[in-house]
Formats: sequence, structure tokens, C-alpha cells
Amino acid sequence: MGKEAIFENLFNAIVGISEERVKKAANELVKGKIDPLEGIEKGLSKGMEVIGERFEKLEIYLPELIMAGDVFNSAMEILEPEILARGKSVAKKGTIVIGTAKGDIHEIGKDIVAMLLKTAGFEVHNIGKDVPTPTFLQEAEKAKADIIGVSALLTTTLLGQKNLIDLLRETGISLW
Amino acid sequence: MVSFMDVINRALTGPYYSEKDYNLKVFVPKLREIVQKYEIKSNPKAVIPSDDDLADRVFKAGVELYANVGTYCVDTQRIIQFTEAEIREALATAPSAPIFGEGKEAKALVARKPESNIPPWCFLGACGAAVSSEEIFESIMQGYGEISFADSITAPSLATLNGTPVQAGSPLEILACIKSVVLTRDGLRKAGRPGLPVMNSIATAVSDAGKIAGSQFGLRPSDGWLIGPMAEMKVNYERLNEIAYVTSLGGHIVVDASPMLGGYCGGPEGAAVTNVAYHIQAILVFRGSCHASFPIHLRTSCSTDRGTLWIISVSTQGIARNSHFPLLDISIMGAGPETEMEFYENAACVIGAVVSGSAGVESPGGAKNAVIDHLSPMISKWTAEVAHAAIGMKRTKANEIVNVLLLKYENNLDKPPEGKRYQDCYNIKTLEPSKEYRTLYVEAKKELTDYGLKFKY
Repeated sequence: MGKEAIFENLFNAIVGISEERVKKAANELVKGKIDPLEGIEKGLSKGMEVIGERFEKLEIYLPELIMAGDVFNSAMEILEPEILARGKSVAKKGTIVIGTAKGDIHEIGKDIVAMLLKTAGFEVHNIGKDVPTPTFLQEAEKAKADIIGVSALLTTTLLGQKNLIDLLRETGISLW
Repeated sequence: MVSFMDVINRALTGPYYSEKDYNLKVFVPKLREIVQKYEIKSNPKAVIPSDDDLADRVFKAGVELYANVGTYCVDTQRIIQFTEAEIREALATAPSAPIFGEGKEAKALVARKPESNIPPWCFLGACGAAVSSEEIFESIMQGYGEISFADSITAPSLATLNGTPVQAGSPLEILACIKSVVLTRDGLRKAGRPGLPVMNSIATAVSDAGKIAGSQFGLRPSDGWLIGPMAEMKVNYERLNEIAYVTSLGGHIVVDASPMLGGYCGGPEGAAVTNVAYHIQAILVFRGSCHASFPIHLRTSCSTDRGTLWIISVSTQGIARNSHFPLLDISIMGAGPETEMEFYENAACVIGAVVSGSAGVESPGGAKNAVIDHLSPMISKWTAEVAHAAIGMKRTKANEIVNVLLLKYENNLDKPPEGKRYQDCYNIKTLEPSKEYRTLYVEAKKELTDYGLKFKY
């Protein structure tokens, strides 16, 4: 099977939300000694773009979005060792630590953002809900994060965003 | 009915699932299977459907859903399960006419049927939207209390205390909760209606501690403690703690729940069925005196789009036809105060709810309840006037009117006008709306009259 056909199979497996098909296509890619980075770019990521667009229009819903993310991840489990074996790495757009502010237990929106960032090439550390302000800083330092995302739905938890900015300034971390 | 102790025991001993597995392996597949089994299909043109059989199927589907998925306790990661027989018993023995309020304001909240001639309960106020100061809080509470149609009040949340922003989970939250209750009672006393029930307890409270501590400073058992689940079909210890407290006190619990269109429920059909499941959950797990429902659209965070209006209508009809446990409907609007769109959106939601058999309607804040001080007594008064005008209206007529209204605003739901702050469209001392706001109100009333709504007041 030619590489274009394998890329198409990867794309279709994501759009069709099929773990079985994506694993098959990923294994074929490895077996065919095709560049896995090209497979990610031309197959998996393009499929996730379509999933994102369909979710935006609510042609599909949150469960499909999450399941498509899981399908993407199962392909990556097969492709990543191959990438490392070639002495390469997945081009990372950045590292983000993301969570919901202290006192707030709403996390559906945050989880959507985390999943989409991950499939778009970010290294994502999702640290959950009801997260104390200093924990964001500590986790960001641990992960050497470029970005911190703080989700909050309520007026009294929105303050968690300001508190983090204040804490970052206090500790001398430059913001941009 | 299954006791609350049994509920707690089931939360401790029920089947164990990770939260993700509950979402994707229990809730989602069972919901989809049931939607198909009962052949539930939405119709974007019939936002207020007149199909009794469809409404009954939605109800039956909701009962079957709840019997299969129960309520997920996120702290124990276990499912609180009930049999269909227990659900039937709960529906049969649920409160039917809880009395809220004190003295001359004491009144029974009764369930209604679709196209009923019984006046709907008017639960008026802020719907928990945030205000920036104690002064604004007390002024607007007085404004709500002065609306003669108000059967109960929904108070705002307080964003600052003595100018200091209130941080959830901190001691400031406890102090702000206490202050909120004091200001609520003071505002209603100034309005001459101290007995009016407050049915969203303390909107400032995020934590169980905030709600319980604040309640000691003026909430009454005849008020309503607002306690709600997390999406979808989940509860945590904090909410169970609140339930333990209020049931021991003999107080009323108002259970607010929000099935999400586009979320785990999927499309409108799944969200409508889930709304029925929430109704049952409100009786069994939350030990409610009534259910307050606000289906919401995942992307717009409003309840006034075509799909969500259908969810509200069909699930309200199903519940009203098959349950005597009172259901209140809440409208979350995109637009804010002093905009044409807020009148249209609110009317669409209120008309739909009233003709579908809602026991009553809760007025919203404005601007998705998300922008500080974007709320007004005007829209609450409007909610009540529209609700009374829709009494006895046929669903077919309501569908015509709501479709006309949708055409006027639905294209703006992605970017609705925020409108003005309360203090910018009202005189907060005299409680008079601005001339511009009053003009918009008069014009909206005339326009709705032209569409066939017969205002009584």
C-alpha cells in the first residue's frame, strides 16, 4: 500500500472514530517504513481538524470529540516509538498546564480545550479541577510549561485567574 | 421511598467506574440506545411540539434511562442505582404542592399540565447572576420584591465584600454568603414583602460550608435551598452534605439541573430524555421539593436557541403529563439589559415553558448570567407578564409566536449584545428604569401583542 493510501486510512480512521482502523493504518505505516511524522501531519492531524470543525457546527457532539481524541492517542502510541527510533521527535508547539481554578468544579470546557490542544501538537498537562493557585505555578515549573490555562465558570472563581497572574508577577516570572 | 441514608449507602457501595467510563461506557451508549428505542426525533420547526405521544415517550425514555444509569458520585466513583420500581414509587410519593414563603406570602407551588389555565409560579430575580457591590445587591432585591407578580425570589451573587473581591473557598466566601442573606432579607423588607420566599438560597455560595454558614443568618425552612448536580447525572460529597443539612432542617430543596445540548447528552433528543432523568434524580437523590430545569447549549451557553427550546418544551410536556412533582423552567439568555433581544429571547422561553405545562418560570439575569451587574427588575417583570399572558394558550399558537421571535434573534446568538449594567439602565435609588429601557419595553409589549399574545396586565 502506498503512503498516500495509508495517510488517507489514518485520516478516515480519525474521522470515522475507529480505533481498530487507526491501529491497523498506523501499523501499516510503521511496516512500510514511512515517515511517521508525515503520517501525523497528513493523516491524523487533518482528521482531527475535520472532527473539530464538525464539533464546532454540532454535527457531532462531545462524546465523539473525546473518542476521536482517544483514537488519535492510540495511533500515537504506535507511531511515537518509531519516531524515537528514527532519532526524531514530534514537533511540539508548546507545553501547557491547564486546570480549573480553586473552588470550581466545572471542567467540561477545560477538558475540550485540553484535548484539542493535545491533538494539535501541544504537550498538555491537565491538572484537573478545584486547583489551588500555587499548584498551577508548581506544576508549570515541573513541566517547564510555556502556557498556563486556568478555567473558571463562576464570578468568584474567575478571581483564581487574577490570583495566578499576581503570583507569577510576585515570583518574577515574566508574562507575555 | 428510598431513604437518604440508603442513597448515601449506595454512593459508598454501588458499582465502581472511572468517571470517563461512566460518561462514555454507561451514560452515552444507554442514552443513545433509549433515544432510538423510543423513536424520539426533534423537529426544528416545531420548537413547541403538540404531540402528546412524543412527550410521553420522552418521559418513559427518561425513566428507563435513570433506571439504567443512576447518579454517579464523583467522590466515591460509584453509581447510586435505583430500580424502576423504586423510581415509580418515588414519582408517586414526591411532593406535589410544597408551600414556600411566610405569612401572607406563603403559597403552594403546584404542578401544571400543558395548555393549563392555572397561573404559573413566577420565580423572579437575578437567577444567581453576580452584582458588584452590597449597594447594588440590596437595591435590586428591593426592585424584585416590588414586582407584584413575584411568588418567590431568585437572588444575585455578591462579587465583592466591602470592595474586596470574593474568592470562592476562602473565608471571604463565608462572609459574603452571610452578607448576601442579610441583604436579601433587607431588600425584601424594604419592598414591603418580608415573607417572600427566596428559592435559590445563597447564590454567592460555591461551597457547602458557604451555603450552610450563610443560611444561619436569615434563610428559613420555607425558603428554597438550591442544590444541583453536575453534568451529566453526577453528584459530589459537597452537594450531598448540603442535602444532609437541609433535609435534617426540614427545609425545601430546589434542585436545579442543566442537561447540555452538544455535550454528553448529544443532540436535543438525548438532552430532553436526560432532563426527565434529572427530574427523577431530583426526587430520589436530591430530596427536592421541586425541580428547576435549565437545558443549555454547549456552545452559546444559552437556552434560547431552537434546539434548546425544543428540549425545554418536549421534556416539560412529558414531565407535566406524567409527574405531579413541580417543575420550574429557567431561561438563560444571551442578550443583556436594555436590548430588544432580551425581550424576544425571554418571551420565547417563557411562552414555551408555560404552554408546555411548567409549574412556573424563573426569570434570568442577562448576558448569559456571566457579566457582572447585567441584570434588571425589568426583565423579571417582563417574564411574569409574558407568563401570565400565555396561560391557556394552545401549543400550536405558541409555536407560531416562538418561531416568529426566533427569526428575530437566532442569528445573533453567537454574539449577543451584552446590554447595560443595572446602574446604567436604572436609577438604583428610585428603582426607575431609564426612559430608553421603558420605551423598549413598551415597544416589545406592543409587538408581542401584534403576534397574538394577550397581556393581562
